[in-house]
Amino acid sequence: MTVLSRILFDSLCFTFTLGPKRKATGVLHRERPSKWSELRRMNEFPPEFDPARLIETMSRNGHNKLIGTRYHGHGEGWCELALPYSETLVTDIASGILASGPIFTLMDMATSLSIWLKTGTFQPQATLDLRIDYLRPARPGNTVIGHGECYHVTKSIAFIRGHAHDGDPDKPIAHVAGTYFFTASA
Amino acid sequence: MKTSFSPYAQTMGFEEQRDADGRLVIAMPYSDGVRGRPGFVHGGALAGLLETIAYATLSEALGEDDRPVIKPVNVTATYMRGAVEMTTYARATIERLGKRIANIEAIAWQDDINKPVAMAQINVMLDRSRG
Repeated sequence: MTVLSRILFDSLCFTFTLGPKRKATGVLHRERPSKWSELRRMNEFPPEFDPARLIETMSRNGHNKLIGTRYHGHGEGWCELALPYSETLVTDIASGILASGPIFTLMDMATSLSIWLKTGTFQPQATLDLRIDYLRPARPGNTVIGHGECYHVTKSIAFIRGHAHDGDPDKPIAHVAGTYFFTASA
Repeated sequence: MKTSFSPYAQTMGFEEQRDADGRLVIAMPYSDGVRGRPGFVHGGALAGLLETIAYATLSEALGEDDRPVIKPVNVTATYMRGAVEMTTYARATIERLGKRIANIEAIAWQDDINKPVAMAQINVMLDRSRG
Protein backbone atom coordinates (compact mmCIF):
# COMPACT_ATOMS: atom_id res chain seq x y z
CA MET A 1 0.00 0.00 0.00
CA THR A 2 1.07 3.56 -0.38
CA VAL A 3 2.72 5.73 2.17
CA LEU A 4 -0.14 8.01 3.00
CA SER A 5 -0.53 9.20 6.50
CA ARG A 6 -4.20 8.47 6.99
CA ILE A 7 -4.64 10.68 10.04
CA LEU A 8 -3.26 13.66 8.21
CA PHE A 9 -5.21 12.70 5.11
CA ASP A 10 -8.47 12.45 7.00
CA SER A 11 -7.92 15.71 8.83
CA LEU A 12 -7.20 17.44 5.53
CA CYS A 13 -10.34 15.99 3.93
CA PHE A 14 -12.26 17.06 7.02
CA THR A 15 -10.98 20.59 6.64
CA PHE A 16 -12.09 20.67 3.02
CA THR A 17 -15.53 19.31 3.71
CA LEU A 18 -16.20 21.75 6.53
CA GLY A 19 -14.25 24.69 5.17
CA PRO A 20 -15.79 27.52 3.15
CA LYS A 21 -17.35 25.99 0.04
CA ARG A 22 -15.54 27.02 -3.11
CA LYS A 23 -17.57 28.65 -5.83
CA ALA A 24 -18.10 26.15 -8.57
CA THR A 25 -16.59 27.30 -11.84
CA GLY A 26 -18.33 27.09 -15.19
CA VAL A 27 -16.25 24.04 -15.99
CA LEU A 28 -17.48 22.24 -12.93
CA HIS A 29 -21.10 23.13 -13.74
CA ARG A 30 -20.85 21.53 -17.15
CA GLU A 31 -19.53 18.32 -15.68
CA ARG A 32 -21.95 15.48 -15.41
CA PRO A 33 -22.62 15.04 -11.72
CA SER A 34 -21.09 11.79 -10.62
CA LYS A 35 -19.58 10.23 -7.56
CA TRP A 36 -16.18 10.69 -9.17
CA SER A 37 -16.36 14.43 -9.76
CA GLU A 38 -17.92 14.96 -6.35
CA LEU A 39 -15.05 13.06 -4.79
CA ARG A 40 -12.50 15.05 -6.75
CA ARG A 41 -13.99 18.35 -5.63
CA MET A 42 -14.16 17.19 -2.05
CA ASN A 43 -10.51 16.21 -2.05
CA GLU A 44 -9.12 19.28 -3.81
CA PHE A 45 -6.09 20.98 -2.26
CA PRO A 46 -6.90 24.08 -0.21
CA PRO A 47 -5.23 27.24 -1.57
CA GLU A 48 -2.79 27.38 1.34
CA PHE A 49 -1.67 23.76 0.90
CA ASP A 50 2.09 23.29 1.19
CA PRO A 51 3.28 19.91 -0.16
CA ALA A 52 6.70 20.39 1.46
CA ARG A 53 5.13 20.53 4.91
CA LEU A 54 2.91 17.52 4.25
CA ILE A 55 5.88 15.47 3.05
CA GLU A 56 7.97 16.48 6.06
CA THR A 57 5.11 15.39 8.34
CA MET A 58 4.76 12.07 6.54
CA SER A 59 8.51 11.53 6.83
CA ARG A 60 8.23 11.70 10.59
CA ASN A 61 5.89 8.70 10.73
CA GLY A 62 5.92 4.94 10.29
CA HIS A 63 8.10 3.28 7.70
CA ASN A 64 9.30 6.56 6.17
CA LYS A 65 10.63 7.58 9.58
CA LEU A 66 12.45 4.26 9.98
CA ILE A 67 14.06 4.61 6.55
CA GLY A 68 14.66 8.35 6.99
CA THR A 69 13.14 9.82 3.81
CA ARG A 70 13.03 13.62 3.62
CA TYR A 71 11.48 16.27 1.40
CA HIS A 72 13.74 17.47 -1.42
CA GLY A 73 11.55 19.28 -3.97
CA HIS A 74 8.30 19.26 -5.88
CA GLY A 75 6.44 20.75 -8.84
CA GLU A 76 3.35 20.09 -10.89
CA GLY A 77 3.08 16.33 -11.21
CA TRP A 78 6.47 15.55 -9.70
CA CYS A 79 8.07 15.14 -6.32
CA GLU A 80 11.62 14.59 -5.08
CA LEU A 81 12.60 12.96 -1.82
CA ALA A 82 15.99 12.40 -0.23
CA LEU A 83 17.23 9.26 1.49
CA PRO A 84 20.29 10.11 3.61
CA TYR A 85 22.84 7.29 3.88
CA SER A 86 22.56 5.18 7.01
CA GLU A 87 24.54 2.18 8.21
CA THR A 88 21.31 0.66 9.51
CA LEU A 89 20.08 0.27 5.92
CA VAL A 90 23.02 -1.48 4.30
CA THR A 91 22.78 -4.94 2.81
CA ASP A 92 26.35 -5.97 3.57
CA ILE A 93 28.57 -4.48 6.27
CA ALA A 94 31.79 -5.09 4.33
CA SER A 95 30.77 -3.18 1.20
CA GLY A 96 28.55 -0.64 2.96
CA ILE A 97 26.16 -0.75 0.00
CA LEU A 98 22.60 0.37 0.68
CA ALA A 99 19.98 -2.41 0.52
CA SER A 100 17.54 -2.14 -2.37
CA GLY A 101 14.49 -2.17 -0.07
CA PRO A 102 14.91 1.43 1.18
CA ILE A 103 15.35 2.64 -2.42
CA PHE A 104 12.11 0.87 -3.33
CA THR A 105 10.37 2.64 -0.41
CA LEU A 106 11.83 6.00 -1.47
CA MET A 107 10.53 5.55 -5.02
CA ASP A 108 7.15 4.28 -3.85
CA MET A 109 6.69 7.40 -1.74
CA ALA A 110 8.01 9.85 -4.36
CA THR A 111 5.85 8.41 -7.14
CA SER A 112 2.70 8.17 -5.01
CA LEU A 113 3.05 11.81 -3.95
CA SER A 114 3.54 12.85 -7.57
CA ILE A 115 -0.03 11.67 -8.25
CA TRP A 116 -1.45 14.11 -5.69
CA LEU A 117 0.66 16.85 -7.23
CA LYS A 118 -0.60 15.91 -10.70
CA THR A 119 -4.31 15.84 -9.83
CA GLY A 120 -4.30 18.55 -7.18
CA THR A 121 -6.42 16.30 -4.99
CA PHE A 122 -5.92 13.92 -2.08
CA GLN A 123 -7.62 10.91 -3.55
CA PRO A 124 -6.92 7.74 -1.59
CA GLN A 125 -4.79 5.44 -3.67
CA ALA A 126 -2.92 2.16 -3.45
CA THR A 127 0.05 0.78 -5.37
CA LEU A 128 -1.01 -1.74 -8.00
CA ASP A 129 2.47 -2.56 -9.19
CA LEU A 130 5.90 -1.03 -9.17
CA ARG A 131 8.89 -2.18 -11.16
CA ILE A 132 12.37 -1.01 -10.30
CA ASP A 133 15.51 -1.47 -12.37
CA TYR A 134 18.72 -1.19 -10.39
CA LEU A 135 21.24 0.33 -12.81
CA ARG A 136 24.09 0.33 -10.30
CA PRO A 137 24.49 0.42 -6.53
CA ALA A 138 24.38 3.76 -4.71
CA ARG A 139 27.82 4.84 -3.52
CA PRO A 140 28.21 4.23 0.22
CA GLY A 141 27.86 7.48 2.16
CA ASN A 142 25.89 9.27 -0.54
CA THR A 143 22.35 10.57 -0.11
CA VAL A 144 19.98 9.07 -2.67
CA ILE A 145 17.53 11.42 -4.37
CA GLY A 146 14.32 9.87 -5.68
CA HIS A 147 12.39 11.66 -8.43
CA GLY A 148 8.78 10.53 -8.97
CA GLU A 149 6.57 11.71 -11.79
CA CYS A 150 2.93 11.06 -12.61
CA TYR A 151 2.57 11.27 -16.40
CA HIS A 152 -1.03 10.14 -16.89
CA VAL A 153 -4.20 9.61 -14.90
CA THR A 154 -7.51 8.03 -15.77
CA LYS A 155 -10.63 7.73 -13.59
CA SER A 156 -9.21 4.78 -11.72
CA ILE A 157 -5.50 4.45 -12.57
CA ALA A 158 -2.45 6.70 -12.22
CA PHE A 159 0.63 5.94 -14.32
CA ILE A 160 3.98 6.86 -12.85
CA ARG A 161 7.68 6.71 -13.59
CA GLY A 162 10.76 7.89 -11.81
CA HIS A 163 14.46 7.61 -11.25
CA ALA A 164 16.97 7.82 -8.44
CA HIS A 165 20.51 9.17 -8.34
CA ASP A 166 23.20 9.57 -5.70
CA GLY A 167 24.50 13.03 -6.51
CA ASP A 168 24.56 13.40 -10.29
CA PRO A 169 21.09 13.45 -11.89
CA ASP A 170 22.68 12.44 -15.20
CA LYS A 171 23.94 9.19 -13.70
CA PRO A 172 20.85 7.45 -12.31
CA ILE A 173 21.17 4.46 -10.01
CA ALA A 174 17.61 3.21 -10.59
CA HIS A 175 14.55 3.64 -12.79
CA VAL A 176 10.97 2.83 -11.83
CA ALA A 177 7.65 2.47 -13.61
CA GLY A 178 4.32 1.50 -12.18
CA THR A 179 0.63 2.07 -11.62
CA TYR A 180 -1.58 3.06 -8.72
CA PHE A 181 -5.34 2.78 -8.48
CA PHE A 182 -7.72 5.16 -6.79
CA THR A 183 -9.31 3.10 -4.06
CA ALA A 184 -12.44 5.27 -3.80
CA SER A 185 -13.13 5.84 -7.51
CA ALA A 186 -16.61 5.05 -8.78
CA MET B 1 26.67 -13.79 5.48
CA LYS B 2 22.99 -14.47 5.42
CA THR B 3 21.05 -11.79 3.60
CA SER B 4 18.32 -11.89 6.18
CA PHE B 5 20.81 -10.86 8.87
CA SER B 6 21.97 -7.75 7.05
CA PRO B 7 21.74 -4.48 8.98
CA TYR B 8 18.73 -3.62 6.82
CA ALA B 9 17.02 -6.92 7.76
CA GLN B 10 17.72 -6.23 11.43
CA THR B 11 16.38 -2.69 11.15
CA MET B 12 13.20 -4.12 9.64
CA GLY B 13 12.87 -6.78 12.36
CA PHE B 14 12.94 -9.74 9.95
CA GLU B 15 12.98 -13.23 11.49
CA GLU B 16 14.06 -16.43 9.75
CA GLN B 17 11.70 -19.38 10.09
CA ARG B 18 10.96 -22.76 8.46
CA ASP B 19 7.59 -23.96 7.24
CA ALA B 20 6.32 -27.55 7.69
CA ASP B 21 8.21 -28.60 4.54
CA GLY B 22 11.45 -27.10 5.80
CA ARG B 23 11.31 -24.20 3.38
CA LEU B 24 12.80 -20.89 4.37
CA VAL B 25 10.24 -18.30 5.45
CA ILE B 26 10.91 -14.76 6.64
CA ALA B 27 8.49 -13.19 9.09
CA MET B 28 8.07 -9.43 9.38
CA PRO B 29 6.31 -8.61 12.66
CA TYR B 30 4.05 -5.57 12.50
CA SER B 31 5.54 -2.45 14.05
CA ASP B 32 5.33 1.30 13.61
CA GLY B 33 8.49 1.05 11.53
CA VAL B 34 6.76 -0.87 8.72
CA ARG B 35 3.56 1.15 8.75
CA GLY B 36 2.40 3.10 5.72
CA ARG B 37 -0.98 4.69 6.12
CA PRO B 38 -2.28 3.92 9.62
CA GLY B 39 -3.43 0.35 9.96
CA PHE B 40 -1.55 -0.92 6.91
CA VAL B 41 1.94 -2.15 6.09
CA HIS B 42 3.95 0.10 3.76
CA GLY B 43 4.35 -1.16 0.18
CA GLY B 44 8.06 -0.42 0.38
CA ALA B 45 8.40 -2.60 3.49
CA LEU B 46 6.62 -5.44 1.67
CA ALA B 47 8.94 -5.05 -1.32
CA GLY B 48 11.93 -5.10 1.03
CA LEU B 49 10.62 -8.32 2.61
CA LEU B 50 10.05 -9.94 -0.79
CA GLU B 51 13.54 -9.00 -1.97
CA THR B 52 15.13 -10.26 1.23
CA ILE B 53 13.42 -13.68 1.09
CA ALA B 54 14.41 -13.95 -2.58
CA TYR B 55 18.10 -13.31 -1.86
CA ALA B 56 18.07 -15.56 1.23
CA THR B 57 16.43 -18.43 -0.68
CA LEU B 58 18.91 -18.00 -3.52
CA SER B 59 21.84 -17.87 -1.13
CA GLU B 60 20.66 -21.13 0.45
CA ALA B 61 20.23 -22.82 -2.95
CA LEU B 62 23.75 -21.83 -3.99
CA GLY B 63 25.20 -23.53 -0.92
CA GLU B 64 28.25 -22.80 1.17
CA ASP B 65 30.84 -23.46 -1.55
CA ASP B 66 29.36 -21.24 -4.22
CA ARG B 67 29.34 -17.62 -3.06
CA PRO B 68 28.89 -15.31 -6.07
CA VAL B 69 28.06 -11.67 -5.43
CA ILE B 70 24.28 -11.38 -5.78
CA LYS B 71 23.45 -8.21 -7.71
CA PRO B 72 19.81 -7.15 -8.01
CA VAL B 73 18.81 -6.37 -11.61
CA ASN B 74 15.14 -5.62 -11.20
CA VAL B 75 12.12 -6.21 -9.03
CA THR B 76 8.47 -6.05 -10.09
CA ALA B 77 6.18 -5.95 -7.09
CA THR B 78 2.43 -6.44 -7.41
CA TYR B 79 0.13 -5.58 -4.55
CA MET B 80 -3.01 -7.67 -4.20
CA ARG B 81 -4.48 -6.86 -0.82
CA GLY B 82 -3.91 -4.34 1.92
CA ALA B 83 -1.54 -5.85 4.47
CA VAL B 84 -2.97 -5.11 7.92
CA GLU B 85 -1.54 -4.85 11.44
CA MET B 86 -0.22 -8.39 11.83
CA THR B 87 2.88 -10.38 11.00
CA THR B 88 3.59 -10.75 7.29
CA TYR B 89 5.34 -13.89 6.00
CA ALA B 90 7.21 -14.40 2.77
CA ARG B 91 8.71 -17.29 0.86
CA ALA B 92 10.39 -17.51 -2.50
CA THR B 93 10.66 -19.98 -5.35
CA ILE B 94 13.65 -20.01 -7.64
CA GLU B 95 12.20 -20.44 -11.12
CA ARG B 96 15.58 -20.76 -12.76
CA LEU B 97 19.10 -20.76 -11.38
CA GLY B 98 21.59 -20.20 -14.17
CA LYS B 99 25.29 -19.51 -14.18
CA ARG B 100 24.90 -15.75 -14.40
CA ILE B 101 21.20 -15.03 -13.93
CA ALA B 102 18.59 -16.26 -11.46
CA ASN B 103 14.84 -15.71 -11.77
CA ILE B 104 12.94 -15.76 -8.51
CA GLU B 105 9.31 -15.37 -7.53
CA ALA B 106 8.37 -14.34 -3.99
CA ILE B 107 5.02 -14.08 -2.28
CA ALA B 108 3.94 -12.45 0.97
CA TRP B 109 0.90 -13.36 3.01
CA GLN B 110 -0.53 -12.83 6.47
CA ASP B 111 -3.09 -15.24 7.93
CA ASP B 112 -3.68 -17.34 4.81
CA ILE B 113 -1.00 -18.29 2.30
CA ASN B 114 -3.73 -18.69 -0.33
CA LYS B 115 -4.56 -15.01 0.01
CA PRO B 116 -1.26 -13.30 -0.75
CA VAL B 117 -0.93 -9.60 0.01
CA ALA B 118 1.86 -9.04 -2.48
CA MET B 119 4.15 -10.86 -4.85
CA ALA B 120 7.32 -10.00 -6.70
CA GLN B 121 9.29 -11.20 -9.65
CA ILE B 122 12.98 -10.71 -9.02
CA ASN B 123 15.85 -11.07 -11.47
CA VAL B 124 19.39 -11.09 -10.16
CA MET B 125 22.85 -11.37 -11.58
CA LEU B 126 25.39 -13.77 -10.09
CA ASP B 127 28.83 -12.24 -10.27
CA ARG B 128 31.64 -14.77 -9.83
CA SER B 129 34.36 -12.51 -11.24
CA ARG B 130 35.60 -11.62 -7.77
CA GLY B 131 35.97 -15.23 -6.71
